[in-house]
Amino acid sequence: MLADVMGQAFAADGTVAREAQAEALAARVGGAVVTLRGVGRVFGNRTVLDGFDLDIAPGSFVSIVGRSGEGKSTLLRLLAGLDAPNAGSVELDGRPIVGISPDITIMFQDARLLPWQTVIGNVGIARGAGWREKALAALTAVGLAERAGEWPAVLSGGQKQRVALARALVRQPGLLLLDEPLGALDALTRTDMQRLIARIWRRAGFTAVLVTHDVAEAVALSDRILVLRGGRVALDVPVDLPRPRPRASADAAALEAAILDALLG
Amino acid sequence: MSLSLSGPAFALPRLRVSLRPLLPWVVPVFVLAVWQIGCDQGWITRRTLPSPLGIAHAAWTLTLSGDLLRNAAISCERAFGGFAIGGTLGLLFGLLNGISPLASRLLDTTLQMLRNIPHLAIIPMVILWFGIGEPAKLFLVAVGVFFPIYLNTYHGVRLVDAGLIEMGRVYRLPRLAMFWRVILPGAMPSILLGVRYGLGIMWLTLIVAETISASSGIGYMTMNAREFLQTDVVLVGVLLYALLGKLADVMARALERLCLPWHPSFAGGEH
Repeated sequence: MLADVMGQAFAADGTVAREAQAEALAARVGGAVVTLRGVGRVFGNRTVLDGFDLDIAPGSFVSIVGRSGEGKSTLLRLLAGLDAPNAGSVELDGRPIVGISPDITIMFQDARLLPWQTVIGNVGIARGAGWREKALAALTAVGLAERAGEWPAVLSGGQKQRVALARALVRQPGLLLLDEPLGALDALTRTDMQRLIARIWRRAGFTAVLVTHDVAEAVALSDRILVLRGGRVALDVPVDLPRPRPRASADAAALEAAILDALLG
Repeated sequence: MSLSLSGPAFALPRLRVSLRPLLPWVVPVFVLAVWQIGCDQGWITRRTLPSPLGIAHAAWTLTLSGDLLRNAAISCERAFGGFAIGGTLGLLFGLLNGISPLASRLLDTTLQMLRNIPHLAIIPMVILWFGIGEPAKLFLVAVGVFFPIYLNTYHGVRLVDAGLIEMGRVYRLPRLAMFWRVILPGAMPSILLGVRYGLGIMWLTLIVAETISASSGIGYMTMNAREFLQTDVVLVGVLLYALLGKLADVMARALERLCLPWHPSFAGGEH
């Protein structure tokens, strides 16, 4: 019902206005710089991270690959401000990350949409002035503007993650953290989502940090790939492949093989 | 049924379809018929069980005299008055203990201990405290309703998806927005379950309270009728309770539809 109304509104304005709105939303001052120095995180008597250093360039797309329990998610939660390190410093644009910053947002493994809010209500979860327009522009960017008035329950898994991505975009983050957001999707939907994320990242210019098990996904999306093993960086490689990236090139395959070797030790 | 447009060959299946909704009523109507015939033939004495028509007649007489409506209104007033008091308190304590670990540590054990006392067991004390006036009935209903609503609210809040709360933190929702947009709607299905349990306990408590001590209400009407062996009036009272109970259930379902439009089980409109 609501979607119809909005659909009509857009039909009247034409798609040009819609695209312009999406572009305006995407245009941001650029990505944030992330700096980690001597970061340590201990859970009980288990050391997950120890003396960890990392510099992430503004606007870059960095993937962190590792097996389960190698500290990937811990690292991401430290960056998100959801957790604090036992030692060392985590900084964003030269300022320590204390608690949750308005400049950072995170996409989780599950979409975490509120079932009792419509799609647009979820995207504009923080409300504030003009939230409907912002939310609608973000939904347009992920290609779901016509589903704005529906309940999340009727969406597919891939669509839910696209809504979650739109919700993250409304914040216009300097740093977008992706905690295996495509892990639960089928292969085709995954590929679609990877393309969408790459396109939005290129346009919006935020810094992106992706945590994943999937080496091919890391190669498809990133500028740089870190392999984490035993709480340390086992491999740190740049990805100098042209964008948009073709599926399954020889260079990509060679890179994937090298990363898999580093993962397996 | 429109028989004029279609030929007889098509009329038969239509007829069959239109009779289908009547099927569940076959057994009740049959039982009523046997019951009525049994009373008419003298197999069942009037004092044991009045006939269905006799009960209908009694209901009609009571309606005309105004007794039925007056007593039903008084009973409803007590029931919903007590429900409002007990339900509100249960909701408030449930929300408080669900949200605040301190409040929960302080109060939950006490409330769990009190919960194990059957509230009808304290009727003698209630009569000592409040006599047989209105406060006694309101108090009993309120106590009975308090616990199911408290427990379901408390658990509903505690079991709100931690992932959604973390999401709310990441999006820096202020405390009030977190409560109204995440916690309360998340606990709502459980709260409404508590409301439904509470409504059942509400009528049960009121029936007992009115039967033991009252000078008005449906319970009083039936107890009074028993004194004079007016079994038909007693059964009118029983049926009235059933009707009001059903009415409360319909209201609870309407409330669920109103509060949970997003819930997949209400999405289709059919339940």
